[in-house]
Amino acid sequence: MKSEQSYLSSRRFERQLPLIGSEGQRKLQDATVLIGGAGGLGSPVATYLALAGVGELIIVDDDRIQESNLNRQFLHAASSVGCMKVYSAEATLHNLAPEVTVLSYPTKIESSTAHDLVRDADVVVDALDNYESRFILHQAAYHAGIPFIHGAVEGFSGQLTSIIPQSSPCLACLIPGAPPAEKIPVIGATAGVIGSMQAMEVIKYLSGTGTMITGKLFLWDGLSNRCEYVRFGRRKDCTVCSGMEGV
Amino acid sequence: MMKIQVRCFARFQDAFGEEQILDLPDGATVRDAVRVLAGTGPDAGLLVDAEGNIRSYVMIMHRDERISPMDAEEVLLVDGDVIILFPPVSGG
Repeated sequence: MKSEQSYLSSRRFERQLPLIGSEGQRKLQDATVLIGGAGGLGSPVATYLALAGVGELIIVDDDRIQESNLNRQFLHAASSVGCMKVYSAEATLHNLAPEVTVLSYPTKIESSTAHDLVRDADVVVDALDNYESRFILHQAAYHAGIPFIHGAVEGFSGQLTSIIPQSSPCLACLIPGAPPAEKIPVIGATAGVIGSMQAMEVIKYLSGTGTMITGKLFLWDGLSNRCEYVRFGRRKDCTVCSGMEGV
Repeated sequence: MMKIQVRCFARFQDAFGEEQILDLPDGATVRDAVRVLAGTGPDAGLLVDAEGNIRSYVMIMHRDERISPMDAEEVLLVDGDVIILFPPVSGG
């Protein structure tokens, strides 16, 4: 492995250094990002963060690769069907960006483990496919004071918001109850759009550039090319953040 | 009568169209608008149950505020109001 200094000064980042500066680049290098889910959203999130030079990625997913995943989950090759997603993701990311440290956890996100998983993260990315795990990971991140970048997709549509503890309403303020669980059809490019935007939110947060999507939900419809920002506030009876404002 | 614009996203758009203008009587509420919209599509059950109660997972935005389905009958509409409806999508 190259020394950190030569890595940062290599030509790998010369097209983004004018945008975030060497200080911003160093912040990415020093950061640890937890990605919950190595599927359709996790693929663009992990890939773009690794390529951008984020120093450490923690990837959590207890699924094995199925053939039906391959229309969107480009971290995984067709030859990897049957393998654990986290190990396939780690191998792909090492090939793309050998200097990135990838920590793989082939486990389900549960209340008993979520706090330990998020403990070392600077940002948590929600690339999960169900609300049960989403709410657990969100609550753990919120109570640890760690930003949580929510994304979800269905068909040609997606949504995204960034939760900054104590300064923005939380995911449970927005979505008090989970919708019925069902098998979701999705076009791969939908996950590509929303996952790329999640990666952008992380890069902006870590490098201190731009404006994040907080206190509002970004809704995007790829079929009609429509998007909306819908504002949302704190719920007084929120089970996650009520009473924690400004703590 | 009032004209109320309703915009739908994700699977609500598939069932009820991208956008509809509803004619509602004066004094109508957000719940009335959702019930009327539900009657225009092939699957009213996506939005309301058999008693006409708005399903708990339906996300309703009105004047930049999120309206709880339980509170929708108390929110009065005025001519020209816009309502946005979407389900929380869950896929990853």
